[in-house]
Amino acid sequence: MTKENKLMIILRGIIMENPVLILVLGTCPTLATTTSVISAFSMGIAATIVLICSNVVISALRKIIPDSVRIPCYIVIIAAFVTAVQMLLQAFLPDIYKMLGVYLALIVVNCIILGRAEMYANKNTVLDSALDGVGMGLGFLLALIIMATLREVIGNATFAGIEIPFLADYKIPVLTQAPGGFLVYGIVIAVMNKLTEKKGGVKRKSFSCEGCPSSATCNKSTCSNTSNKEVEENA
Amino acid sequence: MSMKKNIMPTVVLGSICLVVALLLSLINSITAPIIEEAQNAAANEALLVVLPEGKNFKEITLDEKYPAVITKGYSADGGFVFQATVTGKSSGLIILIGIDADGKIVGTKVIAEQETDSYDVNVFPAVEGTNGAYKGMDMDSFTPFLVGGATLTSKAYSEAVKAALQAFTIANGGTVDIRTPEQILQDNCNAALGTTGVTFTKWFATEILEGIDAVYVAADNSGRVFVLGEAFVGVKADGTVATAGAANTEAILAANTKITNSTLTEITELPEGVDTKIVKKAYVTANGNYVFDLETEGYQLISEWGNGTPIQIKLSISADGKIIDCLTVSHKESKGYGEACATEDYYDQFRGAFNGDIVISVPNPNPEPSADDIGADSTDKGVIASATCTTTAYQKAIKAAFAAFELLTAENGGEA
Repeated sequence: MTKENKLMIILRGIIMENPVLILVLGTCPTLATTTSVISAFSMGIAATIVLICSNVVISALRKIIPDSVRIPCYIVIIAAFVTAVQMLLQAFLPDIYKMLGVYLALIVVNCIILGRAEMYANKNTVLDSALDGVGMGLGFLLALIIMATLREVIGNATFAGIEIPFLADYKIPVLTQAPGGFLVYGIVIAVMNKLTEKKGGVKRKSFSCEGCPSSATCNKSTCSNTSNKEVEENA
Repeated sequence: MSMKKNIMPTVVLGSICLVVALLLSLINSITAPIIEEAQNAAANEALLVVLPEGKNFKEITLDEKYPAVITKGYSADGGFVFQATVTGKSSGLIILIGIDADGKIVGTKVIAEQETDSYDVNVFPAVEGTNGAYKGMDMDSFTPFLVGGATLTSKAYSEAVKAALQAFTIANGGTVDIRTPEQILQDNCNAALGTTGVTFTKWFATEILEGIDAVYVAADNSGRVFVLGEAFVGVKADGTVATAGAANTEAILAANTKITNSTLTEITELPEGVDTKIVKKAYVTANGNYVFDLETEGYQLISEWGNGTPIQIKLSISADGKIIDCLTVSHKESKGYGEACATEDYYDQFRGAFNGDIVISVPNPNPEPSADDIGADSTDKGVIASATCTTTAYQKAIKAAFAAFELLTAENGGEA
């Protein structure tokens, strides 16, 4: 694989296969932690660390782990990293630990992490899996930051807890609540769709393997040929 | 091959679990002391708010000797801190109380509360802190700090502080009677009648009993207990005095006979003019006293936001037109406001009152409590602050009973 291809692995996670905005994975922590930029950033970093580490370990063990117990193995590995992150945050960054609350523990069942383990890490080399973790993690982080910025700035007239005085009279508090989360999420996805559409992005409107954003890495015979071709065209 | 296929998944999964467990235990061994230290520091920080001079806080074991509301206790070099969990307007009012080595309160602080009403929450700044209302009080000088309009919250606060002072005495090896007033009453009644574990209820007085403050009836009909000042005297169902060395036994036995003979006869046809919307039933005793079952429209019936439930009252009037007893039988008036009508302190104030003593403070109250409406008449009998509708309803019910009483006595030629 060339140097350019390695870069593509990272870029794919950030833009073309952004886990939150394109694959629509990890919706629960996205909606829950984007009420403030700080909590969104913390969640993004924590999930990225777990994602990179779990991808690396799962990729390293891919030839040892029998197919029949791969999911329990992935869960144990992911849970181990989440627990480790949890303990480290509680010990060294207790404020962020309190801020993330139950959503930190819920990283274990984050679809992005299990999804990348199943979809990518168990089929690719350790380095590629690590890069995939970096790309997907940064994509997750980027999406969280975008959403949190919109929700906190417009909904609470603050950014990372710093007050924005001239917006104080115009804030829309509902954006910091659950309905506002869905609203902002929908708008950001729509904008993302529009942007990728202009660049001839993935055919997400097609309800088939061909339209699946992850078809490039999926080994199913029904889609791998066309999707690989499509990715090459997109690249 | 098949063996390998069956065993391998177990071995791999088991090995991964083992490695993971070892790694996590390693991380835990590094982080656990830091986490524990941080948690202790956070806990001590809260404790230092109420006991700034305290050092080396250590949690003490609480047993059944301590008041039930005391949920945690800490000893320190400079005194004790107790955590009390009480119920104010809502449950879960958790208060820390710091007491120095001399048994004097240093500070109090609410650490959790559900008192959503802003007026109730405003009680806290006045009460708590190291310059709060309870600062310097000890077991002997303890005085509840009650705030009108936030009675439940401030009463719960005082209950917590009192319990902490009791806990301090217990922690220092002393003994304290931690029973509630109701438990003490029940115990006294049982002791007077020579029973154990029997529940006593207050007798609704339909006769005037000279020199007797209250009468309690045993739930198992084993007898009655008469309260005369501090003395509790039991009289068994067979009419014998159960309390050894009791004084005034003749008067007590006469009162007991009077109660036994005080049967109620229902008046099936009420005279014309009786407000039957309020006066639901009327009874007469052999001695010519009247008992009325009343229903009145409090806030919950007048207000469009109410639950449509009336206040039910029982009232007895002597033959000479004086209230013998009054009792709120049931109600669903607003918590923190009209519900005060169900307290003994409230309805007992009507005892001994004549018709002329009762004035309807606000004849046509607005459903919303109005301070202006109630303020001018706050000295009237039966006024509940910030509960105009309940107040008026109660006063109207008593007036209606008096009106019925007058009609009934007039019907009998002025004689009961």
